[in-house]
Amino acid sequence: MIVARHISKSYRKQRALHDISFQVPEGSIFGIMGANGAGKSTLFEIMTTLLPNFKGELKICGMDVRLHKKEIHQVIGYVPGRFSLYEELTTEENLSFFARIYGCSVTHIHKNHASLWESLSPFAASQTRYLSGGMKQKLAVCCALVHDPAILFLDEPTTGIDPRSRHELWQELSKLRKRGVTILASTHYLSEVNNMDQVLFLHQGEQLLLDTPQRLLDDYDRELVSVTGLHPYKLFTELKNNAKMHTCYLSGKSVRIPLDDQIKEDDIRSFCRNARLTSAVVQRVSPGIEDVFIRHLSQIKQPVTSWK
Amino acid sequence: MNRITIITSIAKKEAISISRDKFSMLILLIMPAVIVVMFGYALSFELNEIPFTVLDQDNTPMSQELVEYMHISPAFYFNGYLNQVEEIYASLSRGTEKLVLFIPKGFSSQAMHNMTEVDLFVDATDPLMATAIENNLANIFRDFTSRQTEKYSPDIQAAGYKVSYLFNPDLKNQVVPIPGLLMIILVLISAIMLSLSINREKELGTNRLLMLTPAGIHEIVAGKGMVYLGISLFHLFSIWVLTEWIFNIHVAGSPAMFILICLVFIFNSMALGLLIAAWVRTELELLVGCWFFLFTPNLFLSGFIFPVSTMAQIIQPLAEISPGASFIEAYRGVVFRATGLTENAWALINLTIQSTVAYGLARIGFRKNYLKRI
Amino acid sequence: MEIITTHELGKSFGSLKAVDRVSMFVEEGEILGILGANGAGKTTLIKMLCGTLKPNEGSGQVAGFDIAAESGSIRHQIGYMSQSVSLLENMTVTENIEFYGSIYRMNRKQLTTRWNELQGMVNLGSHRHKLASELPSGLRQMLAFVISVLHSPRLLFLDEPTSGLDPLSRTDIWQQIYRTAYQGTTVVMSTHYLDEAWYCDRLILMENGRIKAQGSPEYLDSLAGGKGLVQLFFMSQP
Repeated sequence: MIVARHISKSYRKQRALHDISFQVPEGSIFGIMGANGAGKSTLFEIMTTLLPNFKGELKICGMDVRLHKKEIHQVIGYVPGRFSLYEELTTEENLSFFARIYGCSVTHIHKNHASLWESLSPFAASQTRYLSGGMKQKLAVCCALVHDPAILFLDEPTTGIDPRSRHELWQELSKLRKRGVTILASTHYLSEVNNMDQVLFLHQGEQLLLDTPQRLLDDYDRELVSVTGLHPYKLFTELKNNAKMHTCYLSGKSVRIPLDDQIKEDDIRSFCRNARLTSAVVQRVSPGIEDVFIRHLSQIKQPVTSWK
Repeated sequence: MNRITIITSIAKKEAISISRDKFSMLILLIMPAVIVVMFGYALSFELNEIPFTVLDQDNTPMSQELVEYMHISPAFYFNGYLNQVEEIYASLSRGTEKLVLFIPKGFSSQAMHNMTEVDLFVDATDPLMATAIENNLANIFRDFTSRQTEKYSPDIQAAGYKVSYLFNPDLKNQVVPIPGLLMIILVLISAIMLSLSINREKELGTNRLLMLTPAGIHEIVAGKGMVYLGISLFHLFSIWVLTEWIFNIHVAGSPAMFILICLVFIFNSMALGLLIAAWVRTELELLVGCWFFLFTPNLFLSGFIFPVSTMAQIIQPLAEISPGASFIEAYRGVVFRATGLTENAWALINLTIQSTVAYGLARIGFRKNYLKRI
Repeated sequence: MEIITTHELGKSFGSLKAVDRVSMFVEEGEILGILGANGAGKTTLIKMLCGTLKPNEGSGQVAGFDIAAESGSIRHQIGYMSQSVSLLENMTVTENIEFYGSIYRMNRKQLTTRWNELQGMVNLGSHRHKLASELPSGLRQMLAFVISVLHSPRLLFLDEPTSGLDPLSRTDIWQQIYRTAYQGTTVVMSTHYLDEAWYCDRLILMENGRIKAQGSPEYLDSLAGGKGLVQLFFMSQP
């Protein structure tokens, strides 16, 4: 459905994207993750034809984004990162405005996306400025669907909305996926990775990882040990100061240590005993998606924090 | 003492911030100088080279000397002789001359015996300028008379003159601000409100959404333009009605011509507004841009407050091509002097050329900038 | 000891009750997380506790000062890091530090000592001549954090301190939060990340301006039947 080859983009001296390549099969959810400024929005602009000035090649449904803008516009829907609808218009008015521009009717939204519309319909006549963040986002999705696009782009659809609406939005997206819509969504909530068929992790414009969430977890090549104790910070500094365990990091209240030739689980136990960290509990854990990302991130850059 | 440290550090921070922000630098440091230079010239109250024609039925050395006296004065510029009385009205209604000097037969011979008088016909569509002309005339005639006394005889009587105001004989002062106010209102609605509304889409982010629909920038401009054109026309007609009823000023020319002039000006304002909207990023920049490039020039250079002919010569060409001046000139022409297409051709062409160029540049700007993140 | 107590605290904007009769407490030295949807009243509550917003009803004490009457004194005791990071964009890292140092009325010696101490822990030193606007998001947030703890406040308020960061930068910020708490500063924070809720000592869940549930993450999880904190948002009654 979407084929990207060696995409790069620079703004004046600043590099926004560097050599990004991926493919998105039809009817799948493709996730793009990364921090603010990692290049997610730039990638979305390129894919939605808003930014034609880039290096590399990008095809949507076999059409080049630089040559077939009008045709591509017919097959894509876009939900921008920021709520971008008319706040002084009502829910219904916003929807029919976009429907009329596309020259189609809103009834197909009411019919084909009944569950989405059902939650919105109580607010049909209220100005969208009074809607909650979750409702606004659902409306934005509706507006992007009026012309029945084959591909839906969502730039951080769940940022700033409450966990419940986040959950519901992902449910709606997986319903769309079942109807055959291809979905590209960015997020910086790691927990949302589970909803994705493939995930692309961008870091400062570079393609850090690209795989299915399951394979990312399977490919984690280290044994992982978690140490919990009374004062996470104290525990962490003690462990970090040991040269063998300098790769450790805090994950919430626990300190995680990837094992390698230098360090074994028993070494950690004896270290805790010797350092009189009596309350410390050392246990083997299976890695989560956060551990995967941190492992890859720490391989490419020195951590922000340095310890003496 | 601590409070002072806080104040100084805020001051320091502000100074650094300004020095690194090009836009603030422009406004704070450059603009006042530009305003002073530009409008300093606009506000010189000197009449400059007002073209006048002469119907000299006397044709004696003395009458020719009077014409010369007028011509030497920096306020006036001799633009040729007329042959017949009928030409006086035509000369003034063309708008190229503001003043006609009529020297009757026997002017110099009568001067030897008793008081003599010439007639001056002044275009009073701009009452402010008409008054300025009259003030200048007084000086010229005083000098002329004392020169004649010296030359011929101390008995010679003062050369008198009678001024007739054409087109607006009562020098109605309500007339002065009306074209200017109409112009300001049209600029406000068609240029500033339209460009604000187009910029608003950018601030909302809806511009990107619209660009992915079959709608393009032309459709956005046309759709929004229609609404603001409607509002502009509404105000145009209400002001028209008000001036007829309350100020008793009637459009002397054809109403179609009047509407054509107003429409051409509205489109000109819209194009200039779009041009600014296309090349700025934020709403603040847009407002400052409109204020600086649209509002102030139209206010000061158009002849709304100070007649164009009283401006310093350096600034006059700029004032003459300014859209506001073209509009006010054409408005006065059609309302008071019943001008037609030929007399207003310059104003209409000037406004149209500007609109076309501005819209062309605006299109380039929109293509380059409209989808940029702000 | 309790460093914050409120009694029936309320704030309305027109007919909207942003915070509705909230009674709560914060223990000295703990990390308290405030959860809730946008518009649930988190930011309004935090602003009232900071002394930047006057309550309409109820009362509260922060660090021994009344929040309505002595808001000025409160502001000297607290650090605050807002959602929209309030860095001076076109000034360098050092200039930002110097500016906020002078706002906190620190003299040059105090500021230098403190800045050196903090630089040792966060890797901002090598970027000190860069403009704030040129920093990557992780370092920007770290700079904002450093600024909020520059004057070693007794109480630190963080409004979504990690939103929009990559996982590694997030753990860096959390290291700093734990360090600050370990050194005795009380931390009150709001977050959208439910996994981060687990990192707090105690949680307050807000809905429509009221407290829906409060307690340790483990307790709240048990309220939700052990099916994850997200379930709390679906429950009508706690």
